This record gives sequence, structure tokens and C-alpha cells, in this order.
Amino acid sequence: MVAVGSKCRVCREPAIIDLPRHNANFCGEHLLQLCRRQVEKAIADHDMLAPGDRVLVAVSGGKDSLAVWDMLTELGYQADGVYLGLGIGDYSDESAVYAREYAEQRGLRLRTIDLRDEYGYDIPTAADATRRVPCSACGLSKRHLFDAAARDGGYDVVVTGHNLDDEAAVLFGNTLRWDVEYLGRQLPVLPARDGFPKKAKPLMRLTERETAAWCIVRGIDYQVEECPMAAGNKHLAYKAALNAIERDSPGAKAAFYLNFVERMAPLLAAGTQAAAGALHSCDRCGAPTTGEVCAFCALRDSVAGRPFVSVDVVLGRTRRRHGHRRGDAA
Amino acid sequence: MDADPHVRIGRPANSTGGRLTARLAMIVKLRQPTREIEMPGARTVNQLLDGLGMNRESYLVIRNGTLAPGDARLDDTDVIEVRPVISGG
Repeated sequence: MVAVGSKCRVCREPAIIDLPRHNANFCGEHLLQLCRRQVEKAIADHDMLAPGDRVLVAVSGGKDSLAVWDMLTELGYQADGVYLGLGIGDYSDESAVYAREYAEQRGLRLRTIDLRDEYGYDIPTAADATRRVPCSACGLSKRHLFDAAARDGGYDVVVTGHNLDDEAAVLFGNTLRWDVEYLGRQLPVLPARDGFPKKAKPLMRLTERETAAWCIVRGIDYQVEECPMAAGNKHLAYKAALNAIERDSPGAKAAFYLNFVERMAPLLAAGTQAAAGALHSCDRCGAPTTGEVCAFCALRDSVAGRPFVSVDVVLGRTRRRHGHRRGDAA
Repeated sequence: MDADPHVRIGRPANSTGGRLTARLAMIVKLRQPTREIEMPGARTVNQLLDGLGMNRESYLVIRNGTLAPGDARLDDTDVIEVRPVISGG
């Protein structure tokens, strides 16, 4: 229980945030110090970045990607941003503004890629064409284009804003299914391999509440609204479940994920390496793939020539489908 | 749970709505989607979140532009934002 008029654990000045998992309260200055130290520890423990590395940050305009860009820049890394225009209505338009304004105000370099302009599709249209959840086409597009941007730009590592809550939720889902292959690949850093760039998640030790607080204290404006296409996805449900546990057992979420990385992931690593298939270049785009054509080029084939579909059309279809399923089960 | 708060969608937090009387309830801005509610009576941040049925792990509370910890006391004159921190991407 936090005492009334709580004070910062470090300096005894008035606190601005309580962090039950640390059993402590912090003022703005020492909250930033805590976040900085957690990121430095993640980078050091997992050899994420080396001095002089050219870093490409995947920027969405949300709190996590802007926070990690901010922290890495503050820590002295040469970090450029890349923003992917997903074509998700007003949400994407607003997110682009947050990313662009952050970069402009701080004199940082941000490359923008637009799915519609450069690849002839957007996420709602891809979701409609593939009849899969929108997050599937979104994740595939991001992975492929961020990897390509890193290769083309000569970057040493791609950094994403995945935080402790993101990783714990993915771990929770993989564990519910005992998906050993995915569990073996769920690491905070992936080395460069066969044409794939190195990837790192420096926010792995920070919760979403902490990255959001970093942005607020640092005066970073970010996209607060949720992606309309993510509404109701399993990832959010897993986060809600974990936060219900966290509320009663502070620190449970960090123990679940960080102890997995320390104790379980090494046990799974050997099997995952043995299962990794041989890679060669995609016949169309040259990206590394296990097939003749990579998943991104296959996605482009499936949306080729289709008119753009609005967010509302896809959401309406999803709602109807879910309603039908519920009816079937009743 | 508190009594049902009065929900006002789209009204700016600094608006008085033309009223000349003193405000008797704090204006609380909620997100996802953005809307405002009025909640009468002083309370702490944690009491506010509990009253709204919100998990403290999933939200931050901003009082007059500054983060406020769980035990901070909120008054009727404060402008409050309850900001969700969970994202589904």
C-alpha cells in the first residue's frame, strides 16, 4: 500500500508514479533513470547493440517505438526511424503525424514507406483479400519491409518497440498452445542470418505503463488511440489476463517473461536451430525464404488488382463472422 | 462501484458549457474512444480507477498535465485524463 503523499524512493521529492512491481514510487527524473537503466541492462545482457552500430528503429507513432527511439538517441546511438503507412484510415494518418513531428522536432531522420503508394495495397484490403485477421497481413508487411529497409540502408540492426507486456502476452499465447517452435524463437535479440538483419527489443524489461510514462514525462506526443483493426484480438485478451494477475501479484508478469528468457529459452534453442530450414532467395524480390516465393510476394499476389477496401467494411465483416460463430455454438 | 458517471462525448475538458455556477464535479477525460465524464467528490487516483472498474496496471492518470501516483488526491477543480497504456499491435 502506498502511503498518502508518496515520495520518490531515490530523492524523497513528491512522486509522480507508483510502480508496484518495484514496490516503490518515483519522481519524473528518477522514473527516467529507472527506464534508462533497464534499457541499458537489456542491451548489455543480450548484446543487442554495439557502440557505433547503425540502428534502424521501426516507428509506428505509438508510445513504445517513440520511447525506444528517444532512449537510444539519448544513450548516444546513431538511430534512424522507418515508418510504414498501413492505410488504416484516420488511425494511420494520425500516427504518421506523430512519427513525423517527433523526428522533425528532434532533427532525426525518418524514412516513410507507404503500402498504397509503393506496393498497391493497404492492410484493410489485404485482410479482406486473405480472409485472415488484419494483424496477420500487418505483421507480415512490417517484418518484410523493415528487413528490406535495413538491408538497403546498410543498417546493423532493426530495433522494435516490443515491451515486457508485449512479450509476456506472446509468451502466454505460445504457452497455452505449447507451440515449441514459436517459443524457441521468442528471444529479445535475433542475430543476423542468411540475409535477415539482426533484430533487437531493448524495451523487453519495461512495461507498457512505464514506456507510456516515459513519453509523458519527456513531453512526447504519441498515438493514444488503439488501432481499430486490433480491437478484440487475442493479444489484448492475453494482456488483460496477465494484468489481472499482476494486480494481485506485482512482479508476476516480469517473472513470467524474464525467467523464460533466462531459464527456458536456452533449453529450447538447440531444437529450434535444428528445425530451421535452409533459406534461399525469393524468385521475385530476392528476400530470404524457405519457399520459391516469399510470403510477402504471395500476399501481394493475393491483393493485386483489388480496389481498396475501407476499415469499416473489414470490421463489419469480422463482426458478422464472430456473431455467426457464436450463433453456431449456442 | 461509483454511481454511473454522466458521459459527454466530444466536449473539450476546459469548457464550462456556458454555466456560471462553480463546477461541483471533476471532469475526467477517457480514451479509446475519447470522451468525457463528470465525477463528483474528491478521491484518490486509485479510488477513481477502482470506481471506473479499471485495472491500475493498465492505466496512467494525468492531473492538470502531470502524472499522478495512485495515492494522489484529486479535487473537483482538477482536469483529469485517464490514459490507457495497453496496445494491441
